[in-house]
Amino acid sequence: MFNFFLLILIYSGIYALMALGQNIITGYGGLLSLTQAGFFAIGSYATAILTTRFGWSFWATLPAALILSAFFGLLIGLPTLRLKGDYLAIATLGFGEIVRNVLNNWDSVTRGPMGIQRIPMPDLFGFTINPYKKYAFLVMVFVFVGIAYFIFQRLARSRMGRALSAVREDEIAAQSMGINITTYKVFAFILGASVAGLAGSLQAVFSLSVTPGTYTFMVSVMVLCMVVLGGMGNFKASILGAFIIQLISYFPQLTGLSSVIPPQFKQILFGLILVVMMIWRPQGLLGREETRYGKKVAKSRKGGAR
Amino acid sequence: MKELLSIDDISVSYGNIKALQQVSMHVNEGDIVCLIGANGSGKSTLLKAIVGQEPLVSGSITFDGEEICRARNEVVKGVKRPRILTTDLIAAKGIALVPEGRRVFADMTVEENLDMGAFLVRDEQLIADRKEAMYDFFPILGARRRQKTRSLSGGEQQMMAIARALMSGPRLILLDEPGLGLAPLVIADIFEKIDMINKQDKVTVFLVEQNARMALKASTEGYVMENGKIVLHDASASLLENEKVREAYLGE
Repeated sequence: MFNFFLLILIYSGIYALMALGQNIITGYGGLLSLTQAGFFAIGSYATAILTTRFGWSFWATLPAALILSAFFGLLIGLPTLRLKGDYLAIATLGFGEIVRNVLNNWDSVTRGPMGIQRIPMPDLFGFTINPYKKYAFLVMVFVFVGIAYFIFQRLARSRMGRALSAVREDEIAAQSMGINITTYKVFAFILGASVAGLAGSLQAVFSLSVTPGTYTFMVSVMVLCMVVLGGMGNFKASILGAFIIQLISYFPQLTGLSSVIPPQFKQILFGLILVVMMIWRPQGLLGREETRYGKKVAKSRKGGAR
Repeated sequence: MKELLSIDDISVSYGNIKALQQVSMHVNEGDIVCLIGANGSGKSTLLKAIVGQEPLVSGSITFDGEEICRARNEVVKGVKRPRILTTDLIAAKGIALVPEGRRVFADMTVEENLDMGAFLVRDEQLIADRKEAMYDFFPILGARRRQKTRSLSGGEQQMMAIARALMSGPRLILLDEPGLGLAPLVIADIFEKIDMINKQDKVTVFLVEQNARMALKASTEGYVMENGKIVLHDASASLLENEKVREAYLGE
């Protein structure tokens, strides 16, 4: 039972990474993208194939997974980011499905529906991070979450964060302030994609096998759910949202009621959560994080010569 | 006087509809030039074309001796070279747009909006100084600096949009209907500020207005647009006396 709780925590961490990425795309950039499952899959398969077929160590595959998903982020970002709102959602949804179908049918590389098994466990200075003994793995996952959180938080308070907020609020006004909206949108997309690739990499060494069935559209929806539930434009909230959604989705197993509650139950619950949130708390549990860009400048004025 | 913005023979189409037909205009440095015309005459399209939001079918636009927009597929020196600067690059050249309907960043505070206006300025001290100058120039903005822009009145938002545009230190400011939907007293106030911006800060102003009387009184030169064509061009004082203008735009 406690062991099971650890598993939920690990999955929360993996999904939290994806949710952080989704938050920079949707929460900051205001772009409704539904591709996280696709990038997740690309990261997973990059690690799976490179370790089993080419004998790379897990740590070497991490940057590869990151760069590969970032590259695909750029590739689909450039043409689709001209689209807005629901059109973007549909186009990106298509990409996720393409990835899954390629994985399912490209037998020579991905072994199709059979998937890839026997992925080696990651080593760190001679210490094996065994996913069956969950503590070490849990620590590793949350170290990554911490790093990603730190980087994203810094980015959100930088010029890039300001530019993205402006683009979200009004594209034409943002452009006439001298902001290149395409650059910043694509950049957000690449960031979101790469962190999802990282999550995929971790997922591969956690379950030690990958199959295309893991990376369904449902994953993207869950990630979006986490961001909306926590609060758009707030990275802490995304992590919280990831935890809550994971807790809910494993609730039947956790309470030993899986024989009574059908597995479809969680999908009903996700839908219900989204509806209830939209009606009573559209800003999410924690709401948007207020970043006061003006503060720094105001302080520097006092310290200035005037 | 030096020519700052010159629009040469440009045309813009929306599908089959010709929004602008061979429009030519010139804005001299230090002037306030206004463009008046009725709804749907193509005024806003012209501004959009200047900032690179609408592709040109023919003609070109030059700012400070440098071509910023050219029609697609125009042949230059024997080579087909479409060259259209994107809006952000045009902004970087020193053209600031105050868009129609203000388009403020409603969820940001006044101060944050002004900071966004100075996005291309890297010198923090300069940003701080300019902001201070804006708060002196528009005292109401100073009083509301920590307030969300959403909570400002229409006139205050318009002033904020102008201040935001000035934050980049532009050489030319384009104003799209600054008087739209505002009370006459507020409009008078805003036009007074526009005049001060021009006289004190030496910013060239290109003003697009439906309110012909206000615009012509405030400006030095005026153009009249009808159905996508320039039909009249004269000193503003003469346009105010012009029979046709009096009848069609001043309701006399």
